[in-house]
Amino acid sequence: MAGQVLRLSKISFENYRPFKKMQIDFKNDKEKTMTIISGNNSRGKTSIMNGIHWCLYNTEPFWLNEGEGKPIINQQSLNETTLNNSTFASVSVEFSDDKGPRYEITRKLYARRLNDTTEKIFNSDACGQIDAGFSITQSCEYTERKKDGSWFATDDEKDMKLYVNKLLPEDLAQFVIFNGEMLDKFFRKEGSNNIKDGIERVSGLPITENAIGHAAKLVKQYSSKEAKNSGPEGTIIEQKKVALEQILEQLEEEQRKDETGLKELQVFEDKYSTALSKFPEQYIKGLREQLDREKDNKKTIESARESLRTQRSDLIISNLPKMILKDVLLETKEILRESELRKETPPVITPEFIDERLSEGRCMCGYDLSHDSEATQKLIDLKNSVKNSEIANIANEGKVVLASMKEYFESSKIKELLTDLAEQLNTIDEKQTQSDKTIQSIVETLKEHNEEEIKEIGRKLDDILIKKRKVISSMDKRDVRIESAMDTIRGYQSDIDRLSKLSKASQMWTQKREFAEKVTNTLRDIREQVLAVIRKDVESRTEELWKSLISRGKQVEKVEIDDNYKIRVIDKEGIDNLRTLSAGQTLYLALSFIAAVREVTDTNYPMIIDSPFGKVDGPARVLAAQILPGYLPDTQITLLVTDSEYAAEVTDHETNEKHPSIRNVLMSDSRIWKEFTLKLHDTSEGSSETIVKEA
Amino acid sequence: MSLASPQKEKFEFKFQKHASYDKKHYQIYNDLTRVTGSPFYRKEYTKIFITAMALGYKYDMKEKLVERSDSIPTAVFTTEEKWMMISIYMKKTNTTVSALWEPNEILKMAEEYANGGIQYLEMLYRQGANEDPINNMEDELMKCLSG
Repeated sequence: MAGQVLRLSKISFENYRPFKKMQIDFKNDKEKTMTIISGNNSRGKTSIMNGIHWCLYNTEPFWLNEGEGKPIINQQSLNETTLNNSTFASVSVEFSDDKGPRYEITRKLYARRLNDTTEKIFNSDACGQIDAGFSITQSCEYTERKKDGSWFATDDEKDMKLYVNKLLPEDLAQFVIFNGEMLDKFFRKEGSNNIKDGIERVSGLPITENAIGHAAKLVKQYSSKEAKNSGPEGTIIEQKKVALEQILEQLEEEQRKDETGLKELQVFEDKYSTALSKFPEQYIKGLREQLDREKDNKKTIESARESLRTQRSDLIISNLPKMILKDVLLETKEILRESELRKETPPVITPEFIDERLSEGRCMCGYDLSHDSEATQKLIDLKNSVKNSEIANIANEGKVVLASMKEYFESSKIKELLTDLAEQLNTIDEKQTQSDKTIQSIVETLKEHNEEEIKEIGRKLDDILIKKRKVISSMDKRDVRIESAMDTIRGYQSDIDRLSKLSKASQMWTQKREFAEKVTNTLRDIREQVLAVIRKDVESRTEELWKSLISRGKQVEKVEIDDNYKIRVIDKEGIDNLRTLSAGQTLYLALSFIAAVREVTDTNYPMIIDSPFGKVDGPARVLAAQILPGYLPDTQITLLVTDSEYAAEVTDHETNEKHPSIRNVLMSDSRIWKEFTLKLHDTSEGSSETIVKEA
Repeated sequence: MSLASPQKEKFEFKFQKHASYDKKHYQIYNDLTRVTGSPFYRKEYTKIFITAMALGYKYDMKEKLVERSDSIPTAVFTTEEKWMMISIYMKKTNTTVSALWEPNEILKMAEEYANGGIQYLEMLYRQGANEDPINNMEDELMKCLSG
């Protein structure tokens, strides 16, 4: 589709993974070409990426662990599907040009419940765990508006693959829909062949390739006739040559299969190594320490809360009986007072006290008793009357206690204390809630970074690397055999040439063969020259764009791209710096490279980037956000971002300096058309689905 | 009332050694002191007894004990608590200081009110199972404070 300007105009999902029914319409605006879709983790950003890729190419390359999770069809929808009924997942992608919708691609996956077996099995068609009782079928549809305005449509999978690859070659999809965190993988040797293949496909080179193939066939035909006409020895050599060529074809076929296998292994290696790079050991250690600190903090809060709660309980428990019995206690107090007034309560005088007064011969008032027998007798009588004065003591105790309780009866004071405690408890509850949230957040992050999972990913990566080594070793050995076979074939050809010179009959075929060989070689040269021009253009444009983006640009002598599209960053000393680039520089290099390929091949596809800032942090992240709006000014760009990546203030961890959020940086540019947010929505059936809302 | 009492030569206000709850209420006494969310967690049984007694008095829930536990040491009652029991007795028997001659009768009446009130206290505790049970008790206290 070189030369075309296509814009993504609509994507719609129905029962696809977390989406029940969701549609995003994109505006075809030449000025405001940037759309933001934000959402926390597990809200469906990766599902959007995978959904588009699945719709176009029937694969979901952005999952970390294929086949271990939920199926393509929304789980709830599957659960609700009863016996002999079916449900389906559907994704549609619509591209438009200036005249309106131009291409619409739809892929559907149907599930029909044939029996009630709920045993879960992995179903490769459903791409996940699914009840064994389901039967899965798939359908697709491709529609295209033709030049005369009529519509062409096909629902044949093979045709659709052909048309979609013509529209957007799968090899070049990585320039259209990609994960920003995996951009550094562009520059690996194994991945560069894909780029080369994709560039060839959009550059019209398959036509040249077909011509080369045709001419090569003629060479073979003429060579065979040349040999047959050069005598029996030539015929025998030709037979040997043909047999060896068949073996060579087999070897080359095996080599191609291994190359494809290697590409698939590479995809997994990229995913696993990206996942591992996101979970560095030190980061997890830091998280664990933070979790321990927060747990200590929570314990302190809980202890303070328990103390406040105890204070509140004590206050209520001690005051409730008193306040219930307030009236009756006050009455008792009054009874004791009146009883004392009526002298029903004896004075608080003990017999021992009177004994002491009698032995001293002096009354408590100071009166001398020694000469007053009458008064002495009165005191002796008093002693007898107070023999039960214990009752006076207890009554007096009651008087004192009840008097002291008076202050407790002040309702306002108790209310005040209760209010104060309630406020303190509220404050501590808020602190506790905050602490719980922090712990929950760390635990969730740690879950994502589950050590077992990390080890598992590490093991998978090791397996992949072992498989890769085996495949590469096998390919290397096969390369030797291919080289050897080709040498032998060349030897046979040389023998045939020698013999044909001796036979007049074969000379005509020799001339024809030589001419066909010249044509083949000329076509190959043309193809190589075209590719070299494209590659040089990509190289110089990448260098130009990248140097304008990075501060290290002046130290970089040049950016080199070899025949296989392997990129190198050469400094003044002639040393390749690719491996020493920072995450930010690598991101900019990848974006520059993508921009260059798109410019040079004149393929103005829309671009969808997941986690564009995921690999960079601090000032580099802010710089990336400042650069993005100006990057590929005519290209429709959709960014899928996490809330923390997008809306949080950016901190420079070295200087602790605060920078504005990515959102603030991007919003200051007028290229943003709209912001969407992916949210979890609770349905009336009590489950939840992901929906998209305009921010 | 006259000070002299014909029944006793020497007055001594002393409760019997143990107060009782009805054994059928053992579980709630146990739960209230042992369940961490309880307002009476790790507190003496006397606190439950007095609160139950006050609630029993308030809502006129008085119930004779069927099987005495004889397990709450009376020495643990505070002076205030002792006077709450005395006050209820005075009120309900319409007596004055003469009531002080009858410590065990005072205790018996307190036990019967506590025996009635414990059911109401249990209701307050169980109703608050989904939130802090102390909230119901606070509501009860607020009623008294507002009244």
